Amino acid sequence: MTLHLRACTYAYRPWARPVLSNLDYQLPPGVTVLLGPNGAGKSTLLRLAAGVTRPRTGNVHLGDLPSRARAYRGAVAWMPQHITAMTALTAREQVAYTGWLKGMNRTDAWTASATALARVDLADQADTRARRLSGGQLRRVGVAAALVHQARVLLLDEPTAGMDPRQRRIFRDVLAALTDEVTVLLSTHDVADLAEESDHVTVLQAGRIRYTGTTDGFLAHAPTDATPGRRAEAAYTALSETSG
Amino acid sequence: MRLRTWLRASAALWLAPLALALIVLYFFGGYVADHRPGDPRLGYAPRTVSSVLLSVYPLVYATAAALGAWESGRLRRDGVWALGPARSRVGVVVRELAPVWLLSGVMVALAVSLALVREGQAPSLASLVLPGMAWLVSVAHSLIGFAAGLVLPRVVVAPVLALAVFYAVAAAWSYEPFWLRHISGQYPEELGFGELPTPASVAAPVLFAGALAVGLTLLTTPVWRPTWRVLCAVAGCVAMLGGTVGAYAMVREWGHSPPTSSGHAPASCAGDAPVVCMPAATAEDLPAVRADIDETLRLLADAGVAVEPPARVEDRLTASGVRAAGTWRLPLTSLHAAETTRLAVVDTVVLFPCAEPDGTTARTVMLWAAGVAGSADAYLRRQQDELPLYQDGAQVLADIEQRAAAVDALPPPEQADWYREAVASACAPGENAGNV
Amino acid sequence: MWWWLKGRRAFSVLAWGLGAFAAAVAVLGDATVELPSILSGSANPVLFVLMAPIPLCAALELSLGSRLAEAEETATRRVRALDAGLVLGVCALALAVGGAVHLLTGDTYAVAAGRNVAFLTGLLLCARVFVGQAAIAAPVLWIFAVIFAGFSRGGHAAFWTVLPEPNGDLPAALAACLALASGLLLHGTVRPTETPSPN
Repeated sequence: MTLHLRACTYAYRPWARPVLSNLDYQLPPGVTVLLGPNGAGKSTLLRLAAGVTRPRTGNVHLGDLPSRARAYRGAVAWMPQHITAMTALTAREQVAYTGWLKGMNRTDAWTASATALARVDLADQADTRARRLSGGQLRRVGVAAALVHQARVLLLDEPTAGMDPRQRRIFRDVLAALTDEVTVLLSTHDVADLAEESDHVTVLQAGRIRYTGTTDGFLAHAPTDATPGRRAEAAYTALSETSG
Repeated sequence: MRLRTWLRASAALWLAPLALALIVLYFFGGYVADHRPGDPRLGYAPRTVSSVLLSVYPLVYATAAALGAWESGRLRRDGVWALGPARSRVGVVVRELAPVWLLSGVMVALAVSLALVREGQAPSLASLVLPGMAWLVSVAHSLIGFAAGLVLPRVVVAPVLALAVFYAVAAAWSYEPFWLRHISGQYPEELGFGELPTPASVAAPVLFAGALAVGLTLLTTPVWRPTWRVLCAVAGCVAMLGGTVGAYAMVREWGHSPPTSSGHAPASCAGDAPVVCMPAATAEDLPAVRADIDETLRLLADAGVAVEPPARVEDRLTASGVRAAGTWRLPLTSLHAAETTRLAVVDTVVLFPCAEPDGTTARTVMLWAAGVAGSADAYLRRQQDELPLYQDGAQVLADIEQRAAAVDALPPPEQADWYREAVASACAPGENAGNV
Repeated sequence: MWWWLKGRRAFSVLAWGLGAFAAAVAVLGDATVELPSILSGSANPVLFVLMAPIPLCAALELSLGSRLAEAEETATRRVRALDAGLVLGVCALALAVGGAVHLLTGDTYAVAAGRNVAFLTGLLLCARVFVGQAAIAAPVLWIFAVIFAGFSRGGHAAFWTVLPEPNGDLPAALAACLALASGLLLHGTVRPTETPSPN
C-alpha cells in the first residue's frame, strides 16, 4: 500500500500563507529522507501523512484508506519533533501506552514495549520516569514508540536529533533491520547520513517538492569536484540554489 | 528584550484590560454609588484615597498572586531554569514579575486617580501612603504566587490563589480576633478629616506579606549544596514565623479599627479666652462660631449658670493628642452647618452631679438653659426626635415645655435659684433617677 | 486503559483534587462572607463554598492536559471518549461527595457544590478548545462575575449565576447539565488550534 498526498494545501491560519500548496506526493517504498530548509513544510507534510492534521484541500490516502480511517491510523506510526515526557509514566509504560493506543492489547503492548526499547538500546532505562530522561533518550523513546506496534508506515520527524554517534549507528541499524514491507519517511538536517540510510530522497522547499527520486539521482546533482564525504551536502546545496 | 516584547510576553498584559475594567466598574458601582460627599470645603485626599481603596485591595492582591504563579509556571514550562541563564536568578524573576508589578501599580493608581478627580482634590504626599502600602503588599503577593508556581502546577495554583486571596482579603474586615484583620493588607477604615494611618498600621501588613514572600522564596530557591539547602529552609521558616509574630506584636492590642494619627489638617485659630480653632478649610466660619460661643457663655453666666470658660475650643476635625485641661473639643464645623453651636455649648456647660439625673428634671433644666442661649428650638427638635421612642415621651415633652415656660416667667434671680436647685434635685435620692 | 488512567494522573492529581473539594465542602459548609459587589456597592453575602470546585476543576484541567499528544492524536482507540468518561466520573464523584456531606451534616449547599463542579467543568471544557491551558481562567472568572455582579442590592442572586442556588434548584441543575454537555461535545469534536512548526 502506498501513502499518497493528493493536491494538499495547508495553512495554519485561514488568512496565513499556505505552508504546503497543492502538494502532490507519493511516498516510495523503502526509506525516504525528507530534506529542506527550516519552514519548508517538512513537519507539516509528516503531520498530514500521519493524519494528525487534515489538509484544507486535497486528501491523504494509504492505498484505499483515507487518513480519517481507524485502519489508517493503525497502519501508520508517527514520531513528532517534540516527544512528550509523560509525568506519571516510565519509559516502558509510555511506549506500551502508545502500543495500546494503536490497538494492541495490554499484554502484547507490554511485551512489545520491552522489545522496542531494546532495539533502540534503551532497555536499561525502561523503568525510569520519562520526565527524567535526557533529550536524546527521550527521542529514542519516541523511536521505540513508533516501532512498538509494527506499523506499515513510519513517519519520523528528526529522529536522530540529540543522539550521539553511537546512538545514530544504532538507529541506522534499526532502519536496516526493518522489513521490506515497512515504508519509512524521515526528515533530518543531518544530510551526511543520507547515503547509508536511504533509498530515496525528497527535497521540499517553500511547500513544494523540488526533487523526489532515488538517492543516487539526488547525489548526481552534486558538483563533480565535491569531496566524497560531502556529496550529499553539495547535492542539497546545488538543488537549493537552483530552485532559489 | 524590547519593552513591547517584554510586555507582550507577559500574561499581565492580557489580563490588564479585564483587571482595569473591574477597577472602573468598582469605582462607579461601589465608590460613586455609596460615597456621600460631605462639606465640599473639607476635601481631604487621604480620606478619599482610603475610601476608594477599600474594595480594591482584594482585587489587586488576587491579581498579583495569580499572575505571579502563572508566570512562574511559564518559566518552568519553557525550561528557562534548565537553560542555566547567564543572568542572576533574581534578575530573571524581576524581569518576569515587573509587568505584574506594573499592572498592580496601574490598578491602584487608576482607582485613586478616578476618586481624586471626581472629588476635585490633588494628591498629597500623605495620600500616597495607603496606595504605597497596597502596591508593596501586591508585590509580596506576586512573589508568594511565584514561589508557589515553582513547585506546584500553575494550572492549579494560579486559580486557587486568585480566589483564596480575594476571599481572604475581602472578608478580613469581619475577622475575629482583630489582629488578623489588621495584617490582611486591607486598611479597613475610611480615614477621617485630618487623619492619617499610623506607621504601624501600614507596616504590619507589609511586614506580614513580605515575610511570607521572603520565606517562601527561600524555601523554593534551588540550592545545590545540602548545607545551604538546609540553611535556606531554616531561614525561610524563620522569616515567615518572625514576620508573622512581629506583625502580630504590632497589632495585637488594637481593637476593631486600627489607630489613626489625627490633626494633620491645617487649622486656623482666632480669639482669646477662649481661643477657637477650626480647620483652615472652614476658617471662614470662625468669626460666627466664636461669636456664638462667646455670647452663649456670657448669656449663661448672666443667667446664673456656673460657667467655667474654656481656654481653648477645638474642632474635633483638627484636634490631636490628649486633650489638655481647659480645652473643649466639639465638632464645630458640622455644628455651625447645622446651626447648633450654641446648643452644644449649653450641653457642655450644664453638668449634673450624677451620671443618670432624673429625666424630666434634667430635660427641663436643659430646655431652660437652651432658651437662655437662644437655642430652645434646636433643643426641642432634638427631643421631638428622641422622646417618641419612649412610652410616655409625648407627655414628658409637654411637661418639660410647661415647666420651662413657668421658669421663664420668673424674675431672673429666681430663675438662677431654680436652676441651682433643679440641678441638685435631679440627682437627689428618691427622685426618679434614671427615668425619662 | 491502566496506562491511560495513570498518564492522566487520576490517582495523584485527581485524587488530591477530589480530596481538596471534599474538605472544602465539609469545612466551609454554608458559611458566608461579605464580599464587595460592583452592582450594589456594598458587600453581599457570598458563600465560601462557591470556590470549592476550583481545586477539582484545576486538577481536571491538569489531568486532561497530561496526554501523549502524538500517540493520542493518531490512536485507533477512542481517547476522547475515555476523557469524557473521566470527566463524567469526576463530576459524579463530586456529586456523591456533596451528597455524603449533606447526609452527614445537613448542609444545604453540599450537593449544590457537586452540581457546581459539573457546571464549571463544562465552562472549562468549552474554553479549553480555544485557549488550551488558560481555560482554567473560565471557572475562576465566572465565580468572580458572580461575586462582582451576581447579586442585587437585596442580596438575591441573579438567575444566570447558577452557583449560589441551593440543593435541588432545577434551573441550576439544568444549566449545569447543559454546560457539561456542551463542554463534552466541544471536547469530543473540536480539534485544538495548532501552532506552526519551526521545521
